[in-house]
Amino acid sequence: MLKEKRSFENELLNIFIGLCKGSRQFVPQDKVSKFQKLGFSVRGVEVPIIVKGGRVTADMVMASKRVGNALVVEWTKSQLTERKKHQLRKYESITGQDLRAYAFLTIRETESVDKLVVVLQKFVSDYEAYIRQNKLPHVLLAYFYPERYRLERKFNNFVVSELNEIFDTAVEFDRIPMGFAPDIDLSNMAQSGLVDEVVAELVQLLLRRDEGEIFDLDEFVQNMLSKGFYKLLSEDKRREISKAVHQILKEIGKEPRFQEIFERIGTDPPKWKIKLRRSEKLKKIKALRKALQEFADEVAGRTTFLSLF
Amino acid sequence: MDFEISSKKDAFEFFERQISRAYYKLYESQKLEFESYLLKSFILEKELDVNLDEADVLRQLLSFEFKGETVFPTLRKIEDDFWEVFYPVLSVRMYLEKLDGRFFAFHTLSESKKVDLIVQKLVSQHHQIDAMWLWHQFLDRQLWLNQRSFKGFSFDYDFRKISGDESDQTLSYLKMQIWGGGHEIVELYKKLRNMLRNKATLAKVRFKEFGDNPEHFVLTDIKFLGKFRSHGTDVRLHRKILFDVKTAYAQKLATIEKKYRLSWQIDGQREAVLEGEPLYFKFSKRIDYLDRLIEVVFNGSYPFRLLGFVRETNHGYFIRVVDLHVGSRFNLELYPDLMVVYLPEDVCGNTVIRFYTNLQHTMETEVVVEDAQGEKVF
Repeated sequence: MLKEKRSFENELLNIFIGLCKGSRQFVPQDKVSKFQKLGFSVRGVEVPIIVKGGRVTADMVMASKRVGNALVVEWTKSQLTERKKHQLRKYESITGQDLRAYAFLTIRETESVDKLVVVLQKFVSDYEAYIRQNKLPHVLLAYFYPERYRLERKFNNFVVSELNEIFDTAVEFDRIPMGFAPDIDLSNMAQSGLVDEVVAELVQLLLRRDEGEIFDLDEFVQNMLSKGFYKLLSEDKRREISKAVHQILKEIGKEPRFQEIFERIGTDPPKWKIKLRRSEKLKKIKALRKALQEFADEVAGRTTFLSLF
Repeated sequence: MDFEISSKKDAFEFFERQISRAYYKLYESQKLEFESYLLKSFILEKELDVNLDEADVLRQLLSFEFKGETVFPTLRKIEDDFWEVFYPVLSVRMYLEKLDGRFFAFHTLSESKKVDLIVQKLVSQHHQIDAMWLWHQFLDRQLWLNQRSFKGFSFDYDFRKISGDESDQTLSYLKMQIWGGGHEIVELYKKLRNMLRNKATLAKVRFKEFGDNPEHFVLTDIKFLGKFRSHGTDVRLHRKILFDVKTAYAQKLATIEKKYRLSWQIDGQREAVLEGEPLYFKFSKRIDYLDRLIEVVFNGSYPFRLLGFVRETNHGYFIRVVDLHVGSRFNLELYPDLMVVYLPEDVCGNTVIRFYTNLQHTMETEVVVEDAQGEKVF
């Protein structure tokens, strides 16, 4: 069995959703309780916002009516490049009005706005120097990845003083929740979680549908991500995910051991027809479990997943 | 049976005569006369879009594979919500009653062994039908309701498959059935419960319930698979017990589906709120055999019927689970002390109840399920 290689982005997505909703996996719990009391909720993932310098896609937007504050979050595991610098400057110009326009926040929720930048510990000094020199108001958090789950405030203050107290000393957890968001690296489709998601979704679909029934790529992707989460994503992101899922389904279809389960019947839009008969479905699916897990392992274990895409 | 039942009332009056006779026969001679059986009812859950009003749909739904053949019943509609279902091959006659949009019941006087077989085949072969899975605490509660008179219990578990422990040092499996009356039986129940803490899982309870006067009563067994068996003088009490259990069970399902299914609710175009929360299964002691637990629970076999796609993580496992029974999915994190279940928006609450009840029978009784605030769900 291969080890789950959670992406940096997926971990942070789950951590912030978990901080808002509360989760028993966070050990210790005290910082989570303090965060929860502030009343933040996730209001968007991958939110496109048009600002003065062009378009910026916030990784996450959180907001609280209770403290009248919005948090626009950008997380990155890359070093500080010219592109990143440009992106940080664009973040500076995001206003409460932009968030009301693009993320549908309320006036109360945008009384104050903080921009939060989460970077890997090893790049903190570069980012800090840039933010300092350019007098950007962004709050800088360091994330220790993948050794442990730890967030630490490195530079600038939150408007909401309680947030400073929470992140002043490192927020460190033994465990983090992993199931709030689909295990898909939204910034890089070529990773193992997506293959596992496709395999599990395919098994579910085979169980629910009968021989001869047809499914298309769009409905497959929407069901896999859950319709609500799918709606949170931008059109570009949906297209990117669909493309990757299409490739995985094509790969599965090519394997002789899976030819008895479904066949491709259309390309525009991509469509497949189920071949499993109702009476043999359960037996066949149980028998295929090992092969499907092996397929996921093989794909996930390739030196470069990119060979698939 | 030498007359044709023409209404639900007819059927239950006939049942009442039979269970009354059965009670006095048992009381007098401790055995039943030939072809005199107790009234058995099963409550089953059906998928909401299955229409029980159409004979063709019903006939398909009630067919099953047996010894290489497909067994079909003959059907007779008696009332809108009441059908006679007869399996000539097995010589079993049952009456199907729609209880509401989600549940239906079978009532029968036929032989238990054959009826159990039919119900087991229907549940295991049709993903549109599931049993009612009554967990330990639910059954225990039944013993103390409505001033019922405690008449017995059965403990039934087998932890060998998951723990792998077959040594003589620990009690790894148990089957025990004790019927009786009086205060001592209650004391015995409590003592055994305490002594076998975390092992004794209730598989069946027996009690006597009275109506308006002492002459109206039923002696009823409720089994953890949603089977009710009664004899006594008042069949309406049997029906009341059935409906009360169904209502309490439906409430639990509704709570799970309302509070614990995770879904991103979108208001307007992009305003999103994540509704629901995960369920936390807390083990009473550290589990050192997670790999075996995974192999037994998530290999798709009965009774769990869950197929898992497993990944090891830093501190445990992340498992994508497909419920083979109803074809729904959920995700799960597994650690030595905790299991976290993330239910998607379309999952059926019965998946969770089946999972929990079977964990009690195969792993440990005292597994507690809580929400993020520590509020007990089970």
